[in-house]
Amino acid sequence: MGTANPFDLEQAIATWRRFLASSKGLLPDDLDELETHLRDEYEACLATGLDPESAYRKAQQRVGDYDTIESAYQPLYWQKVYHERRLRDELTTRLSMLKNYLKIALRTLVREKGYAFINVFGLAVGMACCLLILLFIQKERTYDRFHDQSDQIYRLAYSAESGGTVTDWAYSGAQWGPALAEAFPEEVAAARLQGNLGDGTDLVRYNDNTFSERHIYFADPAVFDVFTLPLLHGDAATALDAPYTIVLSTTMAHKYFGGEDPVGKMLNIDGSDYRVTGVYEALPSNSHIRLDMLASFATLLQDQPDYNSLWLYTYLLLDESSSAESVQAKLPAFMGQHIAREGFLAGLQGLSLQPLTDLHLRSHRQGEPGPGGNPTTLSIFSVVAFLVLALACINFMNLSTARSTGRAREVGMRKTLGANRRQLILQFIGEAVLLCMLSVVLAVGMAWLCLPFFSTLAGTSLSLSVLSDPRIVGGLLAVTVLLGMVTGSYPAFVLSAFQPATVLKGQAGSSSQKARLRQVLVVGQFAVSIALLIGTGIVYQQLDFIRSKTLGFEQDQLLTIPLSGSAVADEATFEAFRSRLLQRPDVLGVTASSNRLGERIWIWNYRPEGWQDEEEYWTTPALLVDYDYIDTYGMEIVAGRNFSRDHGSDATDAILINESAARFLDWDAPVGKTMAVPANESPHNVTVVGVVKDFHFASLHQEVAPLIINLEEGFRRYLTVKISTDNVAESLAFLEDTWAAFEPERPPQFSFVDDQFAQLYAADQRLSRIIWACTGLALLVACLGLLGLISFTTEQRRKEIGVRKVLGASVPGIVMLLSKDFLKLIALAFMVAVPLTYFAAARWLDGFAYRTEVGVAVFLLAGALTLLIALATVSYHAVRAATANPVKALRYE
Amino acid sequence: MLSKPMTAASINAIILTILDRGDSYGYEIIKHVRDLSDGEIDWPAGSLYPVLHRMKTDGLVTSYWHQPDGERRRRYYRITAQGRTALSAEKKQWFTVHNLLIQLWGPQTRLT
Repeated sequence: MGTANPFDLEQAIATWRRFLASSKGLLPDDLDELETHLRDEYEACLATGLDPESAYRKAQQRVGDYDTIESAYQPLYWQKVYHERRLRDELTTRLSMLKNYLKIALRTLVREKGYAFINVFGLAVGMACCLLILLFIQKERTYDRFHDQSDQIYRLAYSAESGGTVTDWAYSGAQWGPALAEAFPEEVAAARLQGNLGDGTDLVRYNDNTFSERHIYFADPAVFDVFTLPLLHGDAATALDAPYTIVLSTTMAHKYFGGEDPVGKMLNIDGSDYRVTGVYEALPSNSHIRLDMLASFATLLQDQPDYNSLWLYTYLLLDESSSAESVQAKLPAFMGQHIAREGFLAGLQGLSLQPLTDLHLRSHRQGEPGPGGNPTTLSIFSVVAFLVLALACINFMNLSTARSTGRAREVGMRKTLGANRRQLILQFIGEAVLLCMLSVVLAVGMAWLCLPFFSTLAGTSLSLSVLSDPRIVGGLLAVTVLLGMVTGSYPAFVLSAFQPATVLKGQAGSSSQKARLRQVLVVGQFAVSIALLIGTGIVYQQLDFIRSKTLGFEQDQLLTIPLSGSAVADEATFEAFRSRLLQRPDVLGVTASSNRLGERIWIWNYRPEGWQDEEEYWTTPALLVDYDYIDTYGMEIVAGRNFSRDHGSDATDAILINESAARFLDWDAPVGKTMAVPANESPHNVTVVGVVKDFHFASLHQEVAPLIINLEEGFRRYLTVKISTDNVAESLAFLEDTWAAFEPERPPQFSFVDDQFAQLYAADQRLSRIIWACTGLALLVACLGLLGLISFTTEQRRKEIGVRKVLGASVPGIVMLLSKDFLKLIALAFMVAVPLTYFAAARWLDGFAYRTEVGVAVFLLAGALTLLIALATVSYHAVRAATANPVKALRYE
Repeated sequence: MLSKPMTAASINAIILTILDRGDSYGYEIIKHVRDLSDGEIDWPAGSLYPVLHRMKTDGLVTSYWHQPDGERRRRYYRITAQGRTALSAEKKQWFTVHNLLIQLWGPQTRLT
């Protein structure tokens, strides 16, 4: 016998525990409890005088033998364990199903690369197009919101009546803003911006840097309170206090001073020196007004203490507590107290407060600081964006259902193995969502690539920087998932409804009902494409009509140069300049005038003969010109005569009126009639010497308005030169040289009159270009869908084609057979699209006073074009199918 | 020794009654029962704890780990309000059975 082992309690307990844990499956927590019990019993037994080993045996016996413990705990554990196991099983099943779904989805993608590409690419194109347009819309809608208090900023503007027509002006009087702020100090802060009245250009010089600037305003110091113009240098409180001080935007500071610190430097503007007192952060491009430089308003007041121009912008900052309505309600009383209704203001109709954030899209008053946006265009864009996206989605659904037969077997198999409908629907919707995700990634990439191009197209600068906003990304993701669910739902429901017995027997085909739905969708797609195409055609036609419309003068070879501030504007210099130019045979005419055609023309007061009321005036646009104007522009005199140097009295009292003015004044024989000109210094009468045939001096959106042409040689603000078209480059070079000889410091700014008119239709051009692009994309997407469908159909009918060929069908016959159905659909789509487009186009054209007739040609052309493109798409596959060797299709039969 | 069915029938009432007097732990409960019954009722610890567990699941008792000074760390059980309700129901039943048996086992009374 070996030495008796001394009893080791801890080891005994450890063994006991281990055994219970491993063989009987007890949990640690319960073991702890049992162990304390064992130890308590053990100590109790020891106390009765037993030796340790016996005490331990007794204690263990009292706790219970292994089997008793196991059978006692088992019912307790069973529930717990069962529950856990079920959960684990469920999870593994789900995970492996998910893995399976993913695997199947990827395999399908890879196996059917063509369809997958068409699906994903088509959707991505639609999404990218939609994304870009939404970016544009978002930009247009967020104009001027970068000002901290943009919701409380309003523009004060007036409306005035003259000669029976009320004009809404974007302006207000110079003294109204301060008066308003004084009258309601707790509600209003006002900032005035006196611009250059749209005619243009100030010559700005610093050392050798000389540029013409168009966006310089005289501003009150309060401009810093009203707008958010963070000053990088200088002090906002004092920067615009003194006369002849100026603050610059960062862009301008860089332009003139480069890396230098501009503060304290002198900048020469139109001959006067201004001291730079600050630099502010340039406004972003989505501002309705461009503020390049702000000179102190005190500059104006120094020369004219009671400066009371009626042509400046006043911006009001309302206090948070006051509403625009309450201020607006006080305006009539304010008008009565503070505004004297005399002269031009005799016709003052009322003042309005325009919310700053509405100015870009909703305010189209006379004298707006910028071109402004068009809500109609925005809604057209939204519709187009939606259509292109819808087109892509239709494609997606169409192809998915068409391909469904290919997956019928899989569905049958899954159903046989116990998949229920819900699982199948989830599987297919999941697949669609996956594809959508792929597309959206692709779409963002495409949008990013196309952004510069699209920005030029839309005429604004756009950026994808919104994509760094997590909310936008979240929204995009949500939309993607939603889109996936919508587009995936139809195929999902169709696929999940298959009867396993039928599909596994191989009888699943496209039922006629499903085929009909596909046809409806194809018709829808092509209807949209054709509609867009017709729309493009009509827009193009109208713009072409405008371009080629005779404006009533010869616009082709006319170019203008602004003269204000230039030495050439002086009478003697001008005469010398003129005769120098006219020595050249290629210069056909030289004339000076107060305004350019296509831009706003100054308005003046007249009192026509026969108007009784001494106080009543006819305020109308009047062009101040010299003797050569009518001839240079090639305008036609329909009654009376042109101005003539032979009539000495013409210089002081001759005017021409246009036909529209004659109609307005109701004068049958206008020649010889007189009007009073209430000029302050020299009230006098003028006589109508002739009538000019109506010519367009504004956009063709408007009818030709009444116009007076007044011989007034003093107002040489624009020079117009008519050159022969023989050698334009040479003529221009000559013009430039001659100009430099007279005005060496100031580069001439040529612009062609027809370009000026083209500016008027910039928005229309933009619309046209974007619709063009979208139409192209829509056609592309629709054709992609068609390509997918035709290749699917030909595949399905391979055997039929094989049999036909064996039986002697010709290739053209088979191509015809395959194409026929699709061509019918396109014809149907055409019939759907025509009436819709007709009404839409008619509405757009109503915005023009002069419009083209919508002919049948454009409809037919669009239809034919679509048909041709579709035919090309379809026939590619049809010809391939028809020329295939029938043996290949039939060898397994 | 108590028979298995008898143990099963009475164990709830006994445990609840003991816990109703104050929080206790498994060893103490068993010892208490053993002492009071002169060793007649001596539950194996292995079968007491599962019962306590089930009572916990049923909401009759709660448990917490606690280490009184100088003693082992033990799991204590405490009766809940629901446990007290269950106990009074048990009591009523036991008294009913008890009264009936006492009467039946007492001096013979005519039943008719």
